[in-house]
Amino acid sequence: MQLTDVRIDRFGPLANTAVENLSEKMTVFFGPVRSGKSAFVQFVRELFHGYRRNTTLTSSERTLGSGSARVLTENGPRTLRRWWTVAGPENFSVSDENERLVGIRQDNHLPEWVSDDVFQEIFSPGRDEADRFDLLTRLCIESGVAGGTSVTELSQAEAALTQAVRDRDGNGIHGGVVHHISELRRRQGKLQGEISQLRKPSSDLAARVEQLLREIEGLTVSIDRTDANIREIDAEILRLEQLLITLRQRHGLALNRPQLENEIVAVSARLDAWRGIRTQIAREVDSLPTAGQTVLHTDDSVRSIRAIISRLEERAQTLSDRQRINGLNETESAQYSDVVRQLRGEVAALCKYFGQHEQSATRQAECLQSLTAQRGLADATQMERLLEEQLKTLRTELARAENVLAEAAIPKFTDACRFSGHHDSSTYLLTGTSEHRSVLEIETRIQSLKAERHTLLSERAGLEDSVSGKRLLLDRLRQELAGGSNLEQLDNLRAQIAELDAEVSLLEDQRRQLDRTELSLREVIERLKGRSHSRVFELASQYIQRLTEGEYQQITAMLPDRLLLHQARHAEPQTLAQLTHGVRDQVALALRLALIQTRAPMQGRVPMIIDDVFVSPDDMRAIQSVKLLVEVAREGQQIVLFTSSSKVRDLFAQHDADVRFFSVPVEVPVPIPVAPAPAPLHAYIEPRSEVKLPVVEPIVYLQPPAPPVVAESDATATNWLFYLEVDHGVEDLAGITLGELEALRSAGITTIDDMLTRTVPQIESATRLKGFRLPVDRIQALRGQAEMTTRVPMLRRGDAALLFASGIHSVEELSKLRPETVYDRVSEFQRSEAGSRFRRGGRLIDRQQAINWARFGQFTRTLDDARHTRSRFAVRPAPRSLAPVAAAAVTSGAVKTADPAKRLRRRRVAEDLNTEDRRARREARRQRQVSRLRTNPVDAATDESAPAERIGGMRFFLSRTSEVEKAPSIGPRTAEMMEAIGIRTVEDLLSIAPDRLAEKLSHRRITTSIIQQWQAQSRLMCQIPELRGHDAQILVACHIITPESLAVQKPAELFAVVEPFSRTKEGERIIRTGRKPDLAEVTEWIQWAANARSLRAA
Amino acid sequence: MSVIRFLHTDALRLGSPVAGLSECPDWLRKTAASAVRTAVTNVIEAAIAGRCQFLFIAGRLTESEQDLELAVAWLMTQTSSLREHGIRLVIAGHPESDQAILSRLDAIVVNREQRLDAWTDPTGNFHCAVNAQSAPAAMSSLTVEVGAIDTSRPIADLAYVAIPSTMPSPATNSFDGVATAHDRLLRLSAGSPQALTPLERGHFGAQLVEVDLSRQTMTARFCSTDVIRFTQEVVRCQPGLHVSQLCDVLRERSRALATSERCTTVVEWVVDGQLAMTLSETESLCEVDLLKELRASVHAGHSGAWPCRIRFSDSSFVDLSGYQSLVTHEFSAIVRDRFVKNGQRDSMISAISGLPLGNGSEAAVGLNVLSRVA
Repeated sequence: MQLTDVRIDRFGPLANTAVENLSEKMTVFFGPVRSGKSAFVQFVRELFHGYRRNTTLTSSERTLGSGSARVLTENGPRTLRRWWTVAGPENFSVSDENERLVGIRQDNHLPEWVSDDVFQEIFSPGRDEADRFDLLTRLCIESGVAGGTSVTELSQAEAALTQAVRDRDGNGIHGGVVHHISELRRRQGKLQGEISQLRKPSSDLAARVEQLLREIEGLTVSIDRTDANIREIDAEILRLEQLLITLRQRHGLALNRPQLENEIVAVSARLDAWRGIRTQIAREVDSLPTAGQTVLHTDDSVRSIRAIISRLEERAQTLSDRQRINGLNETESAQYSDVVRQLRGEVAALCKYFGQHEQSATRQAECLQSLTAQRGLADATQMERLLEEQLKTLRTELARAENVLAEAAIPKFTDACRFSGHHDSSTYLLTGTSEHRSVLEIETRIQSLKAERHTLLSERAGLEDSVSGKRLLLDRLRQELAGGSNLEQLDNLRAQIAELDAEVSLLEDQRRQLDRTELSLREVIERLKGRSHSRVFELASQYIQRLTEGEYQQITAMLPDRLLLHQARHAEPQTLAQLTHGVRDQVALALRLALIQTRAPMQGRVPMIIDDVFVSPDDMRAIQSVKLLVEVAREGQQIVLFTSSSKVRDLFAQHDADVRFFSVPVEVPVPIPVAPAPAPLHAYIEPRSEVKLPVVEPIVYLQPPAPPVVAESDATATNWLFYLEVDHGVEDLAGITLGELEALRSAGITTIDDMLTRTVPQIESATRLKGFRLPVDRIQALRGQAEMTTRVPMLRRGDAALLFASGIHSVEELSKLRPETVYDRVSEFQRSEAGSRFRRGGRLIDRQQAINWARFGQFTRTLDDARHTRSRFAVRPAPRSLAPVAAAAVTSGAVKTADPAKRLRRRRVAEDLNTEDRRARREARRQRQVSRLRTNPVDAATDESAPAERIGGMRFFLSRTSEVEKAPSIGPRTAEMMEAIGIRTVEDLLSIAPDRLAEKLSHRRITTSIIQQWQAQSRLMCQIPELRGHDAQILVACHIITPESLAVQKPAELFAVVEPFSRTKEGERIIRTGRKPDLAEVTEWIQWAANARSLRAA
Repeated sequence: MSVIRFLHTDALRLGSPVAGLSECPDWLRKTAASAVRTAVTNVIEAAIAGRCQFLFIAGRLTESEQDLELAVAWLMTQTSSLREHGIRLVIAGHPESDQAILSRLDAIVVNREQRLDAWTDPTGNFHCAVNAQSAPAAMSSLTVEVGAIDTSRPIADLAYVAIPSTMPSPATNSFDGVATAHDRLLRLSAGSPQALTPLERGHFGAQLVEVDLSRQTMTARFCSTDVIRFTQEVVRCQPGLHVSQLCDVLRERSRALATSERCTTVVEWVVDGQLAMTLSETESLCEVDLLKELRASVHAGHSGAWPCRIRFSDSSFVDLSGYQSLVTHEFSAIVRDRFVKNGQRDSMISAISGLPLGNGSEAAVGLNVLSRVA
């Protein structure tokens, strides 16, 4: 495209201005200052692209403008016309050479890549644009890939990169591999919790079992002690008895009093028995008849019986004789009968006599018994007498035996008997032999010992009963222990954990591959870009060689957007900041011309309008610039240059440029008061007091006053109130720290638009390249807050931050959520510990707030709309460079009456007075504030940079779920060895037996004691807040392995242990280059230990 | 006949899970959950079937001290069958602090510096006793103790030294799977009854030891007790094998691995060769995708082999010469450069023209991403 004629009916200070027949090569307009050259350039810009926000014209100047330009395009000549009216939108039309309208839309016939920014920055640079390199560098890097297959390849690579990142990180709605891994880890933690829960009763029971075991052990010890005492008592008794025997043998006396007494007792018993016998016999004797009364002589009885028998024999003989001699008649029979009767009488008499004889015999026996009893009585009496005599003898002997031993006869007692239960042993020792003056005392002592022995035996029996009872209880507890959980349940849970572990392992591999893929694709993109932009920089290098007459040889770009200039006499390339203003201008010109020349063959040419820059009469190399411009113009690039220097004009004139005079009568703009039109307020508009009004009054003397916000009548303005616009600065974000602001600004991200046009990785890499380290999640939070506040009406910045932190990460997500869901998610987050800081006045959000957010989410605008529209109630950001001055002016209170020039001058003078001090102080303050965000490649690998878990304001630098490499003393190599055997987390390290782990690792230096130290160090770090790895190493090395033992330490005493250790070789190895712990640090350790958490909570 | 038989096994590792199985079907999940217990039960059955006089466990019952109570409680229910058959349980290798718990097993506990002496009386009855290692053993008795490979010979005529290890001894000194004592001394590791991780490949089980006191001979035969067996199989592909055919090859090899044993083989496939790819969306070299496809074909029925991982060897690569994408070529070049820079088979990489797929390569994932956005 070529510009031939420009006609301005009215545009700012210009009116009825026309330039015609512009050269297709080089046209130079010479005009004095304030002749309207910049307004002319501004008109050309707005002719092509319409109203620009950063125009220097006031709205009143612009609203009445109109003008046209004639251009030569591939389709022939076209006339572009644009005009502005007071109330309506701006109008644009394109007509052909026959004045036929061929387009009324924004078809300005410029190539697609020449946006309004590109046209302003590259093709119509003025003084402001000449100093800016951001867009220029980006275009140079991207140039050459804007057409053909390179775009496809690049877009494919970028899409693949996006896809890889999305596969890994998710897209906000669907989680990626990382999310999946964290979900699996969470499930693993849940299963671990179930195992812990399963073990919970077992743990209690185990403690009780341990307690019981200790009690049983104590009782067993007591029994053993009792046995020992009994043995001692037995020995003592034996010794005393032997002593007694010895004494008795020595004195030849039957000194055994108990024996005597026993004998006395026995004799007395026998005496009593005999007395009883005698009494009984006497009673029997009394009851028996006397012998004289009943005596029947036995001889008489025998003689009587013999006489009877003789008579009976005689009679029987007689009868026999008679019967044999005589026959028997009646008489004889009668006689015989008489005889028989006589015989019968004899027999009866015999029987009677026999009965008498029997009685006599009985009486005789009784008599004999009586006699026997009397004799027995006599014997008993005799025996009683004898026993009484014996008893008397014994008693005499006993009496004689008492107190018979002399004092010297008893040896001294030694302290052989020392058992605790022997109460009199001390007495023995104290009194010696003074209290043992007799055998009786020894016997008494023996008796007391026997009594004590009996007591001890009773105690022992009681102890044994107690032990047996406790053993029964122990068995029962063990049964409960076995029954609380079984191996099957444990196996099932662990199998699930192992399965999750395997899945995590697969996903971790995939994540690593995605990480490498991301890096590779980034490199692919850089290579693709490098292929194309190398030509631009090659051409630019040629130009800069010519412009600097060989002083600078080459221009290169270090990704993403840093330019380097290679000087001929210096090996190290220089950055733009190191160049002089003149060289920077030459670089800017070289790059622009190279960019235009490179893109022209593929995408067509665009006229270049230079507004009095790049060619300065003070520049010794101005001639080179002129030559280059003319040469480029000869190659087909139309260049229109405005200059106020006659020398420059003459230089161009010497090179056959079309030099013209530019002089337009400039009208002084008359402000047109515009009545503020009543804006149609929306129902959701907040009270006016909520709107942050611009602070413009203090700077009234420094620049033209900003128009009242509500007075704007832009057609593109919206009635919604947005608390953030794309042109606001990043400092307007809620919760952004000074360090983050510094990092973003140094990376070139100054506005919300800058932030939203870059992805999070780009922002992260840009800040990292500037030496800062902003966490990705923090960048995501800030960017999410910016996007939501910019796109969702009525959404405050703090509310956006709260929504993002609650997991609502995008506007689309908010628009899809129901108000109840929004309320649930946000309130649940606020209830959590992390969300507590988002509570306002300690309270949660109310439901109406959530309803409002959800409804506002239905009225979002796109980012493109945000760039082209503006809330009628939005706060126009004050110029940042003047904001501190303005603020200072506000505080001074005399702003309106002071002369701005004087005030500025005074301020400069004041600054000059102590510039160095102020600069030094400011630098120190900035260093302090941003130092924690700066990357440190050395520290990055140490545990100092490990992510800390913040609980209740205290940080824990290790948890059970941390990777084992994060544990103290565990290096990458050891961690790799551990991972090979399944030890991946600190939990794994803590739960395995040290000897088992040592066996598995089978490393000669990793012994069981070393692993025990590792475990103790990890436990300390998990439990004690703020404790670092080397602190834990020192403490364990000083044999402090539990938080409890640390908490009870006294600082001075602990320091007395730690300080000598820190001076040892081992201590120096742990501390390395760090600071040795002092008393204050040791005191902090103890204080932290008081806030220790349980290992289970870690 | 004075013969003593005993079964030797090392650490039982009760309570430890079988690792490396992901997204497995229910039958395999259940098998894996009970694998160690089933293997221990197999050990007990093997001791009974082998008419052993005692079962010698030369190692800990569990890996974690916390599980010992539960393991003992479970083992008490299992060892009742041993008592019924008159088989004594001998545990060696546990610290003395565990004796209180182990005493519930009615087992003979052999502590450190101790050994087990076993002999038979003239009537053939079996006797055993625990003695100090420093004391000389009686004539015609067997000495069983826990030691290391390089410890001195026990003071006994006939000695068996159990070397605790999770892996069984390689059968280098055996003939036909039977290890024979030389100089009346046998040093062996029986290994754990069950493998736990994919790194523990091969057969796991116990050593069935038979000692003839009269002849002074001793032999040991390995018997498998594991229910899940890990193995690594290398699949050498024909040059130019298309990625879409890779699963078919693996499926065929899986079928070939199927055995009639009651043991599931968990396979880590290592693919070696030159593959071809067209970057269509249906083809993927990602391990997750390949596993999913392969498992789907063996999911219907248990064929004895279950894939747990699919990796590519360092010498394998995919040929992308037919694909004209500049991105792919750049990606391939970057991956190759990094391989060469890292010293990973640089000579091999320089000799091939494709995209290396070996360990540490992002080729599979990268190609998958590129094919999806192509």
